[in-house]
Amino acid sequence: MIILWGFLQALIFPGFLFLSVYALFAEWLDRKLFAQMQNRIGPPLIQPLADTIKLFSKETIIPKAVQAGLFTLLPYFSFAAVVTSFLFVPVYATPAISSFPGDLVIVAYLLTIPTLVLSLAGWSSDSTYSILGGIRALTQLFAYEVPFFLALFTPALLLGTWNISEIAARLPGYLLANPFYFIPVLISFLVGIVALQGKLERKPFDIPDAETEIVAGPFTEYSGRLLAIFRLSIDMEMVCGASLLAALFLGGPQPFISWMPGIISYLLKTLAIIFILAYIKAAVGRIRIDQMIRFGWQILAPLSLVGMLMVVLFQKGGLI
Amino acid sequence: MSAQTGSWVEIPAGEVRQWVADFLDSGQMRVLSTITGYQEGERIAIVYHFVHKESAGLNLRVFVPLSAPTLPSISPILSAGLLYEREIQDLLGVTFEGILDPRRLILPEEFPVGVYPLRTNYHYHGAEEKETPGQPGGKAE
Amino acid sequence: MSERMILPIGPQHPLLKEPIHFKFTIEGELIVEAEIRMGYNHRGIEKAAEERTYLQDLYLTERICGICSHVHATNFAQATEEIMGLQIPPRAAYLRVVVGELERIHSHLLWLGVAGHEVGYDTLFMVSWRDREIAQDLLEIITGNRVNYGMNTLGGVRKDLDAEQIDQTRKGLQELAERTLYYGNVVSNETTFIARVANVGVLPKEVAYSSGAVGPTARGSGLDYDVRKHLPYAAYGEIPFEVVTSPRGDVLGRALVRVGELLESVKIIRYCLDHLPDGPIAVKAPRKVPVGEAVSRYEAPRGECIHYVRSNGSDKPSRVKVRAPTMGNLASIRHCLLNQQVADIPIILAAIDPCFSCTDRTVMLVKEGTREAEVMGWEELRLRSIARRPI
Repeated sequence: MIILWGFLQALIFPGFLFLSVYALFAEWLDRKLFAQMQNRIGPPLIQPLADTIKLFSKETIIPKAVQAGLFTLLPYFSFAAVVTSFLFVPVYATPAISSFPGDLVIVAYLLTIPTLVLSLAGWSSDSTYSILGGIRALTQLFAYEVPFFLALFTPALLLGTWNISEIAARLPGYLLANPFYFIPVLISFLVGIVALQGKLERKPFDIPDAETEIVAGPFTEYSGRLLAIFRLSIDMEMVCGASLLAALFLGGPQPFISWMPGIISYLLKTLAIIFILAYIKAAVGRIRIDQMIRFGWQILAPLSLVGMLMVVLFQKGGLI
Repeated sequence: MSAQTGSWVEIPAGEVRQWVADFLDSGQMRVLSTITGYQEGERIAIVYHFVHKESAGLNLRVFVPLSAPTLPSISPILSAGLLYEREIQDLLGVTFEGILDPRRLILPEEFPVGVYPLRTNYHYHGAEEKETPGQPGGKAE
Repeated sequence: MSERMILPIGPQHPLLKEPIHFKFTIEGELIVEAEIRMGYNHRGIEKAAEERTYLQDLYLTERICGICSHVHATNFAQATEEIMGLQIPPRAAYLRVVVGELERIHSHLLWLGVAGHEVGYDTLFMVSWRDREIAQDLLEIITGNRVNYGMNTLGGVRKDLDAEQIDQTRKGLQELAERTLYYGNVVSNETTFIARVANVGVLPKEVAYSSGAVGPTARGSGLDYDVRKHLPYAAYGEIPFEVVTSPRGDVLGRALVRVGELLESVKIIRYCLDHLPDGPIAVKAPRKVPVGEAVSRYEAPRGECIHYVRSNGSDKPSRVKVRAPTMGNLASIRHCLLNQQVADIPIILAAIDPCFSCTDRTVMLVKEGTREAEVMGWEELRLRSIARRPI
């Protein structure tokens, strides 16, 4: 019975179906905000769904020079990794569908898989543009991954647990009791958002997908069903990343106002993060890969270290 | 003649590189606007259009015979001339000796060698005028 | 020793608005060699011009390019008018300037959007093209069309400006001036934009000089040459304005030059509207042109455009030579691209503001699967373009 219940949760709510619907909605929101900030109208609500259906109905062309097996399987790997990582993020209540100590580390690694898949896809496509895109995706990984991890681990360090659901449940209370720690949590949150923008390969970090330079980067040779799965997995990654940040830094479904249902609290927080991501995307241009590396190591990483150091020194040092 | 057209100078074709070198050394050149070629009977004229620093045009004209259309290239001393000379090579069949890059510039690789579109003996092989649907007088669809 | 890869760009590529072929040899992200192959837009216009009358050629040359159509029409008209010995009335000269400067405004705003898009700054692209519509609307009010204005005739212009059009133009100019100040601010201060254009695609002054660069590409490297100032045509001899240069030599320098020119254009148009002389707008031109030759130069948005016309006394020119500014800047491109990064290719190419339609001017059809080629003549091309079923 428990297995059936878990199964239903994983497939429908808050699992796969909820994630898909929310992902499509998030893509629409992102595109609409992007358009409105540029004085345009933007697409209607069902546009992402229409795009997905359209892509599914188109012919999937596999270039002769690639290994068909690897080429076809890669989008599904990325898809599976993202959906799996969503199981550990609390949505409407804590704990999440699956929760155990250490699941933060698992989710952090699972969310790295889409980038690795992207590089592999670029390499296996055997076209100059894809290979360049794949190389850039890997290079970019080195710039944002370390700050991202450091930012994620700061609240874990603060509360002494590696369980996402537990962090989400305890963080608001802890912060209200010890308001000094708002500072390191805020710093890590900001670093996390910027690093998430890099992980999702959105402006100013959309270097692997630089349309004007390398056509579509690793996606150049993908079409039809495979491209739809790739795009869907990227949208889901955005929701996953936003949910993870909301759970770790904002308390996830734990409401700030006591009567608010968990799901509303969760939705509000993730929507706020998505709004910030869309705003960054509209406000800036794309930077170059060498500038990104410099930015990641000279600015992001030190900032995330500052957050972490504050926690170590003050909490563990017993100062506050 | 207006200041834009400016003055005309004519020299023998073989002296063109020396003349341009002297002009460059004098520091009086503002820019080389372009190089024109045209056919006049049995000879081809090459005109170098400069702008003189004293805000006037300066046009240098040389002639080469159709039977031996060769003259020195100025691209080694003035790289601006390279693309213009390549264009004249393609379209008029003139050979610029010592040109830095003799490859075809605007004609496609499949274009027949020895055919020069800007020469007066080159005409398009057009289709005959026939009544097509949509033209006045054509059959209604 | 890192492996070299060949990166082909074009003739179809998202970064290019028009077809051209580049073959880059890259080591990692660094460009070590660049080869250019043009001719994809060659339409045989110079040859076609020899088979049409001067008035037909006026319309033919206007269609060399969409963005700078007035440039070519005016240039050709000027060259022909010089051979004919015609002096156009002062009002016509001023009207040519008004349309020409509006064209410069719309072209530079177009460039700003394209440059933004090339560095991934889509917001700049959308916003600058929205403001470009102001200039386009003004051009439509004055000439009746957004491109290919048909404003010129041999001997003057075809349309006059009435009081209401002048009024609307002034209002539009006011808005354009404000927006331009905003763009100047963006170009000078926006961090991600500057990070992508500062010290990118550097063209030293000596290389610009020896490779024959013109226009904002040359002025952005400190070369002081503007046809409007040094070889004035139309009414420019009487209009006070500044030539905008920048000593930087990189893409940012060229961007600053173009934004500066936007402001100058607004000033020039205002001066023209304030000092518009009365009188006729055209003089009658003879159908047969006396024997002669003339060179005409025009400062197009992209640089110096030169037309050379030779007449043999008939009603058709014996030679029409057009060198559009992009060809003059193409020679400098190779220098700008070497030792730069792949990511900078789009913005370096965009920085010369290429207009390959202007640059190329024989359509070749290659039978599918074979290397046999067929030359298509003008008539056949025309038939194919109007036939409703495939021939």
